[in-house]
Amino acid sequence: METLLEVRGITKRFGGLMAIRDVDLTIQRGEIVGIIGPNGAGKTTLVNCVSGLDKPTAGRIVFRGRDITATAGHLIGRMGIARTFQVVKPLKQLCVRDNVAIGAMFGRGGAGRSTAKARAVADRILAQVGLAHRSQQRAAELTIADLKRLELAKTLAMEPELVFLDEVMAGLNQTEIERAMGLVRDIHESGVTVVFIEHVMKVVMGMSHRVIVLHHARKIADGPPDQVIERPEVIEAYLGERFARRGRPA
Amino acid sequence: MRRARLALLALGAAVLVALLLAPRFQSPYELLNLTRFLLLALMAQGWNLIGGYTGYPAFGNVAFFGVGAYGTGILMLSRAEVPFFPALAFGTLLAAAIAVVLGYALLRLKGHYFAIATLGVAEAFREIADSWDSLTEGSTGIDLPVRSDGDFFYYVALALVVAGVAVTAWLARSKIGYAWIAIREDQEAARMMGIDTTRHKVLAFALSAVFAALAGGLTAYQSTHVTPTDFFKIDYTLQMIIACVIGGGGTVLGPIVGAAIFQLLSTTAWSHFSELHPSVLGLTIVVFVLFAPRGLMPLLRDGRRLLAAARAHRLT
Repeated sequence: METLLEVRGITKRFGGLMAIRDVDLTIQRGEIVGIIGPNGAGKTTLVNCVSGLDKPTAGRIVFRGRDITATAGHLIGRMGIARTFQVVKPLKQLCVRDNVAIGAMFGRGGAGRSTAKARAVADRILAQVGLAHRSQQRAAELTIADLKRLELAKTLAMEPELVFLDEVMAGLNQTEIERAMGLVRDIHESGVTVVFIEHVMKVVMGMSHRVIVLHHARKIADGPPDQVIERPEVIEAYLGERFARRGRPA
Repeated sequence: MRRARLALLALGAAVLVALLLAPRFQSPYELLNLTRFLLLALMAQGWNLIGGYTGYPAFGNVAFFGVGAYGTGILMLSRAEVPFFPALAFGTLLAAAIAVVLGYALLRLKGHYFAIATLGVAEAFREIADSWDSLTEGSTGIDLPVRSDGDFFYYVALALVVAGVAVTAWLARSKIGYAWIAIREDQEAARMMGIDTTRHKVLAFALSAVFAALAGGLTAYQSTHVTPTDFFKIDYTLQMIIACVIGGGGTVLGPIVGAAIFQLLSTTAWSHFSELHPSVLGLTIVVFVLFAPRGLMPLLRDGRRLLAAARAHRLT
């Protein structure tokens, strides 16, 4: 297996707050990796560091053998790492199609692509994620489920090798979650390596090849999903010490 | 939609022909007002690129107007006696270069902070022009060679506005235009989508400086007397912004329409109630901000969309 991403000892400090502390992890090409952890554990900060939105205070990030620790965020996007935002960031005044077309213009396949070609790519991706019927609507008019789908479409338009999906299922109902899971599987089938942050355990257990657990800014577990959730420190992080001593959650 | 586009083109052509023929039918005073409108339209179109498309509230664009004016004037008055057009080109490039340097420093700021910083920079430029006696003759100002040919200034201004509209229309449809709008809507999202935000912002700022400097150089040549108080006054910045607010920032024709309305209001208010002139203008701006905050052009576009929707509804 080929190592796609290697994170070595990264730390991010905001003033006195350690958002992540000395975290190591590797992502192999073709994996689906779930990142879980209680609120405030540092999951989003980790994604922010890898995608270049924040610069880590210490540590190294290597993507496809290249050190990208100090690389500007837009260049990381063009190299093939795309991410969604937990708090969705649509370009509100633009129509859905243009939102996605911008990803196709400036992402990995964007150089030398005309705006017309980018719009054609956008149409293909909108059909894939099931937003084609909203194509001409302004992003400001979408429902939360559609906005989550738009986040996904924007990153797909960048033709990434590695995507970070930051809680794309949050706020969706059961049917919508089923559809979104199918969509993520399709994305993975098409050859994209997927790392996702999620609280919905059904999704985490059902989709991940491997689960990484963050707690209080540190990585406390990393392994196959069924083994990871048996670990006492993971149970403690989620349910408290009392359950951990009992060995299994009630 | 295609018919609407044809109608718009026809209207544009008619307006252009009327503007081309205007000097034959207008008094020198009216021609001067028309020239003023064109110069404001040019500056506003420039402000539109940074303020309208990219969403950065630049409050110091008069600095580039002044640099264009002084750059043009000083070169024309130099021992080399540079002719007007090369001098104008120099003044414009100088303003663009200054905008690039300022842009890298100031465009890190956002919102109000950026507005205040640019405002301060414009004031600093006025002070520099006021104190650098050996270059600018201080507060006395410089006197350019006289050219009392109203038609010349009018046609140059018209050509620049037409070129400005063409360039803006082209940019708005290009990747650059998309990048600007993405930055305006959400800078972090834009960056994560692969857009080099810094370079695109600096480009918008430098182009806005080019438009303002061209207007400044032409205004300097026409009025012949250039002083720091006249060419670095905040009124010019405010007029650019007001024209964009009235017409609609982030649209190709908004600043032009806004400049026309502003000039019309300004001259009417001036001739009918000169005492109340500023209050009438102020009231108009308040009305626009309250009832059409995105300006006239988006209002027209929404109206057309509504009409089309209503028609489609009737057909089904």
